[in-house]
Amino acid sequence: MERAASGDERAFATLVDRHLGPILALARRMLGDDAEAEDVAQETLIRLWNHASRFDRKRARLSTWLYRITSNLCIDRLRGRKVQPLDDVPEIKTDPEQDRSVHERQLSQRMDIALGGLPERQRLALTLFHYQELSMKEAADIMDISVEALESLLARARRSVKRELEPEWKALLPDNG
Amino acid sequence: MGKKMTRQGTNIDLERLEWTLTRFGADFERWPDEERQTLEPLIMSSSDACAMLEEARALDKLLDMAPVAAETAELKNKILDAAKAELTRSEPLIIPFRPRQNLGAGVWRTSWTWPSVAALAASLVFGIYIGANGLIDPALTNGFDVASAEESIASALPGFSFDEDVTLSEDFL
Repeated sequence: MERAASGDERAFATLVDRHLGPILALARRMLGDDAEAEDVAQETLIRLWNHASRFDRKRARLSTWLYRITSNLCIDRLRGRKVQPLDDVPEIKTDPEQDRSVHERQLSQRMDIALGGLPERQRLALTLFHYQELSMKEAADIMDISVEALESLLARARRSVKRELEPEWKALLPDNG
Repeated sequence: MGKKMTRQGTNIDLERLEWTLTRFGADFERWPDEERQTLEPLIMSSSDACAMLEEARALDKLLDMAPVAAETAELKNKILDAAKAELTRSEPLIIPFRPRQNLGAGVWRTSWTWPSVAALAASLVFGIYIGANGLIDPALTNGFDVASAEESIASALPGFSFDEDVTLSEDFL
């Protein structure tokens, strides 16, 4: 990190290798759009590059700092968006390497829409804890809220997704219906 | 807490299980230690608890079906290129100063074409001609006190004097 702060491009490349995946995953879950997620990931890492000297490792872990920047950028974008009709939700890009069934693709798209319908802070709480597998403490730190407040957001998020999917529960999960 | 629990105790524990599942999901590893130690025996012994756990697992499974972002080498290279560009951008920005005479030369070249120069020369010759031959209508100069105008100008400009030939004094120059 110190080397990156002094302008060492190779050190920065190592940081990009280490942190790009998690940052991109967080942005993708929050924004539901590949291109926007890539923009946010790039902006986050360029901020790291430009302001690496300002990072204080005594105050936070680097990953926490980066997640916080990413979260704020995502929330800014979500607030700047107009309400998007469901018909306009972008198609899910599929990786041709993967042999995914039509059902799985539809399910994936359905979940994207369900998550996209959550209020931004509930979505962020669920993303940080469930998808990024951060501890409650770390997720709460990133969101700058108490652990109790995070628990409340998580509970509301899971209940909302469940309620949203309830009518089609059996169709979505035939094995568990 | 064994298999034979009171109905009231079971309800309290089931509520606690629901509270835990709603917040942390079905993965025991994500539960706080205290919840895991208290609730695992309940799940082993209660069909209601098992059903709640299965429902939470189903929701976890659905959540895991959400699309995953694919990290690409192309994106990484794009970020590294952008970082390099930032380095260049942060260097002091030097804007080359355009010499004044170049600007003037440009204006001269573009504005002073031969017809405008010829028109200016013609008007100058015409002015000298009508002035030298007394062709200006006296009515135009009626009421105009040339002497007082000269005094006003001379008092405003100390180095300026009116000779017969109307020349500028050396002090002024």
